[in-house]
Amino acid sequence: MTKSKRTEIFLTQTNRRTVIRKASVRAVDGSDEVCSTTTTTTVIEEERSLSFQSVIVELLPRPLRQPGAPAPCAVSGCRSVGRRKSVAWEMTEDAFRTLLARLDADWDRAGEKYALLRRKLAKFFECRGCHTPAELADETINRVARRLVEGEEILAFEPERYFYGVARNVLREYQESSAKQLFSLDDLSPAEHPRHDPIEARARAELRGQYERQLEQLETCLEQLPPAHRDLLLEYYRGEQRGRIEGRRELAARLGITVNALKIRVFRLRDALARRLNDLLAQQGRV
Amino acid sequence: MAHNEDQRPLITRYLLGELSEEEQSEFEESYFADDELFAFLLVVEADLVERYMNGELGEKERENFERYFLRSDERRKRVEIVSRRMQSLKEG
Repeated sequence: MTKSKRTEIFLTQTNRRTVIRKASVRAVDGSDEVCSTTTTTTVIEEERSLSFQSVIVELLPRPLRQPGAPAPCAVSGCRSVGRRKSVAWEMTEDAFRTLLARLDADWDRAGEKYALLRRKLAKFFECRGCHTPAELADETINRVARRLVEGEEILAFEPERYFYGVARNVLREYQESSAKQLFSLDDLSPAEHPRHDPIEARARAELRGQYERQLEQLETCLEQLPPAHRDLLLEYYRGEQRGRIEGRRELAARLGITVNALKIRVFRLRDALARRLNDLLAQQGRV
Repeated sequence: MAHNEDQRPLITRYLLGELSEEEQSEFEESYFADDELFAFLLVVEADLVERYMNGELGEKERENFERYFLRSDERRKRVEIVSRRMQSLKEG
């Protein structure tokens, strides 16, 4: 694999939802052959954190709306939001480039910062109990991008703080909107009560099958890891409860690092594994 | 910035919804500005789930985990699947 001669960052929005986007950093050699692709989409969730087995789970596709369905706002369920409610705004490639440029002058680093920022936003919304953290993260990013396009200045030395401020506004609107939508089951007619939906049940069964297939793909990716990395991951997760804790202490001691440093090292390995799996899924999706 | 075990209790309380609004905001601002702290947050979260799955949480922690941490549909779904996967590994 040759090292890239140029790097492209581009945005793709599907016609399904305005909030679905791909921020890809493509390393391209002289013959325009794609050497590697890093893709961040709403398909990729932020949970790199649950446990080793959950790596697969975090990469599961989110259920998408039916093609052609309207693209509601993640906050209020309508196409417009808050004080900008008169016009539905969608991310454009130019806006996205402007956003990335504000994060870092170097495209590679800007792409990485964008991906990390999006993960932080989604984690924030998840920790605040929101049901659609990824969508709210995208909504936040959209708002910041829009403000940038409209000429608003973001303090260059602390864009994260700015994003956090916007995210808090999005959260407040989400909470207000959710409160308005709450109603008692007792107020529903019998026909409106929740019931078993065979179509939904079938969709869930298909999703389960998909989980299983992706587990197999995870195992494939594990096999492709350098042996030292694979062994480290497997050893890290070996054993149960006390035995596992003790094993980790011994492993850290053997590597000459603290348990905390070991955990961070494993976390990064898992992250790399998740990206590899994502690439594999993307490749298969193109076939 | 290096992070150590001293911050684990604060992060655990954040994940379990035990912080005041002011403490939450302060911690969130910190991890938005500090990538290493964010990475450590994910590590602590992974540990928390693991301890829950292994029945290692105290009564109050377990209650808050189920009441607060698992109120997210996504998290609940993931924990269920991880649990199923662990079960199948044990059986298999």
